[in-house]
Amino acid sequence: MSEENNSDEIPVEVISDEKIETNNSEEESKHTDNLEQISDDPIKLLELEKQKVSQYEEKLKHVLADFQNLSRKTQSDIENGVNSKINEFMLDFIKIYDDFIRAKEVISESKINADGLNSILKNMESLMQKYNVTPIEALGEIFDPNYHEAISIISDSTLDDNTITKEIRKGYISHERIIRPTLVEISKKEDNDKND
Amino acid sequence: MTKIIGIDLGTSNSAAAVVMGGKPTIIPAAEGATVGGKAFPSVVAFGKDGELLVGEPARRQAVTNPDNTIVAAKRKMGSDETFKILDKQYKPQQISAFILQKIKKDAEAFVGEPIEKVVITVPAYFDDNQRQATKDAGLLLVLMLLELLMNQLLHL
Repeated sequence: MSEENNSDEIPVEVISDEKIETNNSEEESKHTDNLEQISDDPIKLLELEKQKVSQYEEKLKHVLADFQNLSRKTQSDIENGVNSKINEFMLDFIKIYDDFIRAKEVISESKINADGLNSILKNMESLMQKYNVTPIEALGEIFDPNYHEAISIISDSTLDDNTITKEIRKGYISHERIIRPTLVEISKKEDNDKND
Repeated sequence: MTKIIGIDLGTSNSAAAVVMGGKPTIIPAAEGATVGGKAFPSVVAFGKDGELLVGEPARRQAVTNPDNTIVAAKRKMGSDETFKILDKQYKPQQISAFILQKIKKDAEAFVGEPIEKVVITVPAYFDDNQRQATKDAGLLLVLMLLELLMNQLLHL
């Protein structure tokens, strides 16, 4: 077994400590010789310094590019952070706005004066406008899952497939971002297709 | 050093997080707030023209297109069952890979740099087959990205 193991071993050239020391000392002496030669020759010294300058210039370019990227990213992170917090707040605000709309519907059915409520609703709408929150117009449009959420289907052969026939809950958009999709009812021609 | 994201590949919803500034941060879906908060619904759908919808848009159209919408693919992980959509067979691993791809894409947009490493969780009760299927989903994600890269190179 031991013989087999020995035969598998890869021969390694062992470098003695003395050899390493002599190598190191040789390199050091070469380096000092070079420096002495360069310091003696001002043109070579100038070239060396020029090389250093070009290296630093290259580094500076990279650092500047990194800094510009970082400042751009920080700026967009701040904007996104602020916008997402506004959107979160607006989502909660819209729920209260919906309650007011429902209250208005009930009041108008009972034939009670709703002027006060109307002015509150106007204020709420102007606040939403201030923060670029706009309702998604869905009625009559073709269903788009990026803006709408379908929760029921009706059969209607007169309309195109996936036409929105009813808005069940209004959706809102802010800065090209959906705060809340519109809940909709859509039409299908399925029954006709089956009969065909 | 590139960032590593952790993905909870769930049955109904999936979630992802990344350590930013020393703190774990949930990665929001590109669609913004969803039913599961910031999570990604584990829903994959194919439109009539074969266009792929993953996550929140897929969930929103599930009622209108139930035949071509796949939910809870995780329950079939590790089994031989397939989903037949528009005359094509999809394994649960492939469906999970679509979800992982969507999470990776949104994570890259959120973090602002390419994501090269992910950690995917599995439930403790998952057997070897189910664990392997989840790993396969991760490998499929890599293959899909390679395919995308190859296509881009071909168009250059």
